[in-house]
Amino acid sequence: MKKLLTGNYAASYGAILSRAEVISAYPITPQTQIVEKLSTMVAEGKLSAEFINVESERSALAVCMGASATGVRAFTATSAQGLALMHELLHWTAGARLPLVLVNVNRAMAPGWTVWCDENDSLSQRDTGWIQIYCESNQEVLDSVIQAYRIAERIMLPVMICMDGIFLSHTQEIVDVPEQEKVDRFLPPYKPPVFLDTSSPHAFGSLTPPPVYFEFRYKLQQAMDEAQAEIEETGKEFGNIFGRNYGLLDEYLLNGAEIAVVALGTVCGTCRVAIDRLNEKGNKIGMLRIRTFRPLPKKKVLEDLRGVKKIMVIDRNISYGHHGILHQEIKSALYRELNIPVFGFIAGLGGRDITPEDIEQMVNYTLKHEEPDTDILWWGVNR
Amino acid sequence: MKFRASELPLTPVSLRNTIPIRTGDWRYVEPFYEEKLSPCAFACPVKTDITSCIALLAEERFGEAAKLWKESNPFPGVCGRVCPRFCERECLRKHLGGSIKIHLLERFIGDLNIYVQNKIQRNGKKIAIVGSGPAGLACAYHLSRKGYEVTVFEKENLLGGLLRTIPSYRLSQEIVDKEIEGILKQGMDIEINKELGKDFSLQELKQQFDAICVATGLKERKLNIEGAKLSNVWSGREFLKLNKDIQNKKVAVIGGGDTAVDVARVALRRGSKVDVFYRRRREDMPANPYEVEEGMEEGVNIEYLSEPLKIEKYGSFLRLFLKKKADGNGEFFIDVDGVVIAVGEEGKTVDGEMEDTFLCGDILTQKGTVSHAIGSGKETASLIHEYFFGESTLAVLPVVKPEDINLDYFKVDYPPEEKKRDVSQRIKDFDEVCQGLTKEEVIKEAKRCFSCGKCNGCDNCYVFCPDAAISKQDGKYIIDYDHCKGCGICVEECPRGVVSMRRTEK
Repeated sequence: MKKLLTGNYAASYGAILSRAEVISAYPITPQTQIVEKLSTMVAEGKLSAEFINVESERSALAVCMGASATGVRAFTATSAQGLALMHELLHWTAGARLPLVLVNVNRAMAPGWTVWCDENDSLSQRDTGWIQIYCESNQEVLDSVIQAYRIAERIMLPVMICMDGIFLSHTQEIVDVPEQEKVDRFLPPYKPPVFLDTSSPHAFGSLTPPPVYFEFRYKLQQAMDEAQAEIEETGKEFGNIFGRNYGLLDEYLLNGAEIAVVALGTVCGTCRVAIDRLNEKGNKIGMLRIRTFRPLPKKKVLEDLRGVKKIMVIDRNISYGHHGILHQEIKSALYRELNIPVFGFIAGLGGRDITPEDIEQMVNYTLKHEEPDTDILWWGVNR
Repeated sequence: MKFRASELPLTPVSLRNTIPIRTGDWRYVEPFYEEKLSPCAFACPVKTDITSCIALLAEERFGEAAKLWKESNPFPGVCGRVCPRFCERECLRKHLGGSIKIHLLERFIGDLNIYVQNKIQRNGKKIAIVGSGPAGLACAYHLSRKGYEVTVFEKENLLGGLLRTIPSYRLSQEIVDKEIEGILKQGMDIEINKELGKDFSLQELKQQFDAICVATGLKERKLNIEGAKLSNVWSGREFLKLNKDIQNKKVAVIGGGDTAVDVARVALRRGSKVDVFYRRRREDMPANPYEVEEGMEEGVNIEYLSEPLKIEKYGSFLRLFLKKKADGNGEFFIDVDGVVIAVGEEGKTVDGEMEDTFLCGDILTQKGTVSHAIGSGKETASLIHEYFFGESTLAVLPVVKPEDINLDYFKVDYPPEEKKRDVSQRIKDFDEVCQGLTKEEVIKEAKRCFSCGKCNGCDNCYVFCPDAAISKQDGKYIIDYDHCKGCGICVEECPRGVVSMRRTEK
């Protein structure tokens, strides 16, 4: 059934259709509507789940971890400072191999206090062991939440679905809401391999000395490696049932392109418009959207970028003291494989608009320069 | 110690289980299950286990609820109608939508007319009970159920005592008949038209019985004013027995108790205009406040702070002189066709103190309500049993305090509307004013009950225990003290104050 949905409600529908059994969250703009919708549905008896109110995001994740450990499907959502407050337990969730799903609505970090978008909040959590998927549309948000449970429960790693705050969370799009029966076929009930059982009590995550700790970390990285194939397969299977295909990456007009624009999130939609305009004038521009940021599909990135002459990375984030986070990731993927200049733009921090004209001008700059003038190409900042 | 990654589980899990680690050692306080008396049951003069009965009603186990109620009180139909509802005043639901309408639930239980069986072996002890009012009958009922051979003596030709003077718009006499029938089914002998001091003496009874219980109640207090003996001046009880049409007459009632209000409302139904004169204020009236309110709805006029001085005969009418207490010069009079004096009751003494003689009801407590009389009958039955067999059957339980209830678990929820017949209709006849609840309303109302102090298996303790130290066996919760650290979460999360804390003996 087609509905006009905001990104937030698309996320709620994703959780509902996935039959999340325990939901816990703490309200934070621009995420609140996701769990507001879910709590209303639970209160009205339309959703058979436990909605547990808590006093902080950290507790919300703790509740979801506990629920997941007992073998049920758990869901939470947060944003910015809330995600940062969960930081310790983000590590724990992954280390405990709990397959829960978190929707993060990307919002810039304070101060200065803000509710507008950039991706520093979730990209700062890249080393916590969570799978991270970045969405470009509200439809993708809904579809990705459903896929996330299947990926998480097969790989036994938590999945974070990220969407740009305000741009997706608070704007409506026509979203195809799949039928429950089809979703049930795609996503069978969760059968945990290990779970808390009071008849056979064990200590979980207790003191792990050097002779074994290392091996557990090796296993976590192995799971991340396996996740790549799983995400691809899940995306394909989803396409077979629902007619919408998803993969690790999303390529646009890359075949034969001379310049590849690399980005994640909603800026990619803007890029599509700008690229169409540029190519109409005879340019050969393509785009690589990084849908899966963790695990980073390095081999696929290399395959997709082989043959381009220049790479432009547009980062709506920054690693202070270095440069854009995606910029760094792409450069590390190219190391000793491809010797292509990478132009690292930083734009749109704190929700400032990145227009198609901005992208066109960034491309024009790249066309005119053999190498970037500076490590960071600040776009639109008033110095 | 060396493990291959492939041999390891997903996440570090202890190889052995943690049961041998007795973390209970850390404890210095410990929870324990302790059922308590609910505030309603504590306030109840009969000490009926109200919460347990309501729990059965909520589960539609009506028969069991009625039987349990009658274990304590054989008169639910009566009390559900006439008790001033001491229980509802203490109900902890009070501020979350309003007290449970316990009287309506009790009335429902009574109207089911379910009799309890008495299969106990007779113990050979013979008890005489003098007086068949609610106290005497309740005492007889409980003694019979404990195995005594009981004989009840009644001076009138009908059992029930004061229950027979309650007007039928409050309490249908059929209800009284049926509940007395249920009492008689327990097995007892009845001697009617036998008055103490006239037909027999206590000494004579002593010859034939092992113990005697006197439950003869109180006599009406007289008012020593001039004119109190004129014709058309009656006592309250006399007036209520009087079956006379007093259409279009004026009646003055002196008093502020239940009898005064009964007289006023009866006179009104017989077509008279009624004024009640009470010497103190409304809040001082000993009458059941619900009855006062209904009487006023019906048109009974009450003059407060009015003290009667004298009654004089003026031709065909009586002139009642009174004084307003509030101002010194406030003498006034009213001309009426009749005056009813209903100024309460006073004690009458039982001749001499005798061994093996017990008292119950108003003669002992002077509390003046049917419920107190029934409670006193029950208590005296227990005392008599203790006297012969030394077994105390009066349990002492702690009472649930408001702070024991975790209000987070209860939502605001309102009781059903009380159904009363319209004033214009009800003053024309003697049919009951108040109506009972339907089965559906009873279930809904019973579900509002907090069940203070009585475990209803909500699983909160079981779910919240962070040490999984609480388990369930045969519907009961068991605490594993080897692993309970004494955190007290079960005590806090019990919505109804069933789990208590005590110091751990080390």
